[in-house]
Amino acid sequence: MKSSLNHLISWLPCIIFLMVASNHFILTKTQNLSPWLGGGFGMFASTDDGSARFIEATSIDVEGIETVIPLKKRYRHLKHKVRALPNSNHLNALAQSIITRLQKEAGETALPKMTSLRIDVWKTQYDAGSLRPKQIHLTRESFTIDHKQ
Amino acid sequence: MINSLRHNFNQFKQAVFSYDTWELAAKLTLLLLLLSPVGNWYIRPLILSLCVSGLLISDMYRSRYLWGALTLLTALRFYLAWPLSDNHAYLLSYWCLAFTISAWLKDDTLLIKNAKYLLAFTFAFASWQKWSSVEYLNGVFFLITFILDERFEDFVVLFSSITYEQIDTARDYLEGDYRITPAADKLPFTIPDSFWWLAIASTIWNLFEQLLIAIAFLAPKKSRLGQFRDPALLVFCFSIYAVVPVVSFGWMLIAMGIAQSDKETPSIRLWYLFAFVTLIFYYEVPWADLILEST
Repeated sequence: MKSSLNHLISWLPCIIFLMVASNHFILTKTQNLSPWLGGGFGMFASTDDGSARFIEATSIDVEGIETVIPLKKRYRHLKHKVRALPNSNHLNALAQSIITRLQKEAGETALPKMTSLRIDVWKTQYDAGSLRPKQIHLTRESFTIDHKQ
Repeated sequence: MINSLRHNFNQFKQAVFSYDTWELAAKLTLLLLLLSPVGNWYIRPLILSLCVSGLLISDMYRSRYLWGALTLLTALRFYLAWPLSDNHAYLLSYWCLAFTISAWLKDDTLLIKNAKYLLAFTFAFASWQKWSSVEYLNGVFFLITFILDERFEDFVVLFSSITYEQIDTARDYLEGDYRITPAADKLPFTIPDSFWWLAIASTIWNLFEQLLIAIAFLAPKKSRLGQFRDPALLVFCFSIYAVVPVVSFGWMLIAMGIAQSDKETPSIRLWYLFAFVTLIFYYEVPWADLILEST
């Protein structure tokens, strides 16, 4: 019993390697993880690294007017995470951070007008013949702003 | 003078030959963590302190607690930054875990086994990712990377007829935001043939070399391909890291290479050590820039 447990433990680094790499494969297919990241050893195989992705956060007010929110340096870490893996967790974390900041900046007066926040992510693709770049929409998620808080 | 140098070199060679591969791999891993520190402000000082202890205190490099702590800290580093860490951050953590297990179970062969398969899997996944990427196989990846990645700028100017001005123009075009207005049909200049060939040669060479290393490490050691594993890994380290400045990854591959290397052929260890030192020069000396400036 002890010897078979030791045998299993002895393979642990390789087992974890394969588990993380499999997780990378699943996330690239299902949640648009950048092939460069996440432990799948996809570096130097794709132009779709995080820096070639675009993020846009847009606020929508009660009258339906949309305003693009500049994603300044304070959002840098969350922005990088969203660019690398634009899943619900990361999008939600970025949205909450933006909403909290907007609530602080706007105070009591202006914010009730804002009803929701939308985040879009694009990646860049290049044509094989001409290298012409084109942005492909990856994901969009909307967040309703709760004014009771 | 020459005799004295030869004598000193022979002494150095004998010292390397008499080294235990476990010890050498452990010390090189601790050294690479000192030369290329990892982690944020609260992880980095702890890792550095452990590495200093491991190198200075007698037999500390054998401690399972040292390697256990390094495993936890390096794993914490990529867990906290998930998914932003580079791939070698993950590999470093698995590698520290291999030391921990080997030290804990007091079985040196476990490090050899894990070094071999970690190397095999690293190159197998790297080559599979390239093989399954359309933009890698059609050459677009290297064409774009050679233009957009500043780390390759001097290299491509040196080995093709593209100019710095053309690279700047191409960057403006390729990095533009075309979500509303589409990009112009093509680049504002014709890409030189030499640049295309450099990209195609890099595409073929990288895939071939990495696939070969993966197969060589997966094949039985005594087989023809298996015997080719150390030379193939050494060629990879000597060639790729002259261009790609990810030196800490290279050092880690070298430490793994030493760990799994045959004890009966100690000259391989010398070659790995030579590669370790060469990578320092690759990293610190801007050789492509110096050649360009002198011409």
